Amino acid sequence: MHSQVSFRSGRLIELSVGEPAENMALDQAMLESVDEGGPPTLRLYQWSEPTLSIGYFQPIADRVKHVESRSAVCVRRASGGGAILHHHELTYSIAWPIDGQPAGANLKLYHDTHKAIADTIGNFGVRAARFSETASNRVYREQASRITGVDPFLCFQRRFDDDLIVNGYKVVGSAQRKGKRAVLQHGSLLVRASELAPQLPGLWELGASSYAVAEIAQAIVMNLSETLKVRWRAASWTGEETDRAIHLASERFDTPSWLHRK
Amino acid sequence: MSRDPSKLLYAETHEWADLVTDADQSVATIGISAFAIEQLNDLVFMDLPPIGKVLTAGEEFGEVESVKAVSPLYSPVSGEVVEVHSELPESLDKLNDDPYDFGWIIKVKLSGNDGREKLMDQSTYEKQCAEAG
Repeated sequence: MHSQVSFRSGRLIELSVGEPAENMALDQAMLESVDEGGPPTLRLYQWSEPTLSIGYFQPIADRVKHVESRSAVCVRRASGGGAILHHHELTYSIAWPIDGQPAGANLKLYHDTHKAIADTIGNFGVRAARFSETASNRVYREQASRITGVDPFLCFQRRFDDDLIVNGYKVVGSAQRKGKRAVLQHGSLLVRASELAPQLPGLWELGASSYAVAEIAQAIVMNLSETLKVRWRAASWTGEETDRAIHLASERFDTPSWLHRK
Repeated sequence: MSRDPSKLLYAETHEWADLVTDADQSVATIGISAFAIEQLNDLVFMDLPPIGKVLTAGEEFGEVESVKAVSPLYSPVSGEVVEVHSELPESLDKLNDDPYDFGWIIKVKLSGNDGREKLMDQSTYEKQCAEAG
């Protein structure tokens, strides 16, 4: 006898293209919405122009470390970690309710999300492994312990246990921002290499059978339904969320003071 | 003299408060519990509030970045920030060893409805932690 697994209802904001500050503001508005009791929400999006998003605590002055992306506009995320060049890629975000009061990252959400993405890209002919299961894991850690305190500038050149690795390259980078009763996780799947970050191959360069972002996005939604046990229903932003996002973009994510806060 | 964790009050969001009252005022010294520091796993950055900032109990007063997450820090009490541990963000590796003495983050001069009635003693807080796993 198999026990019946119950699926919860979730909201899906389907693939769209947004301005840099708008994208970050919508993610924050989505976190706040779920923090106030809204349903789990999944969003898939792209960027209206090549954009370098830097981590919440990254100094803006470190941009000079990556010369190839100097022509890209820059936005500071509310999540931590390294910089991401959003160009030929797919960004996802999930706002997920938290049970109780755990401290730190929700590693299960991280793990489950990356499993769904690994299953998805497997269907496109690219086999990814978790970093913790790769042979380079031990070498990287030994090097990291020798060069203490200096993380690479780019997220995709950093390594963490649940990062998805293909032929030595990281293809998905994700980070979380916690609220009181919800967590936002957003991340980027490299679909094709960008001339603004030529050192980072995407799925296409790594042998994928397609680089059709809409097709990949649709497959991710299906696989995230299975791993997170959520029935996603396509929905629109509420009026409150839209208003909040406009406010957050103009007062925070699109301001020089936010970009230069570090 | 080192601080005794069993004498502290705790917020559900894992901050501890050490309340001291003298003839003129009550001041809470605030930090993060050993349980939370272990769960946060490898703190790399911390933001502190400016001195003089007025906080309401439950309001964010700072942020920490740990492995894969930025998490807010919430003030367990209401009042004005009168001192910040400015050395701490550069020495986060010491938090694991000494969360209750070296690990203090801010001092808040209590005011008005200071919010302490919502705080837990250590045994109640430990039950919450056990349930969180």
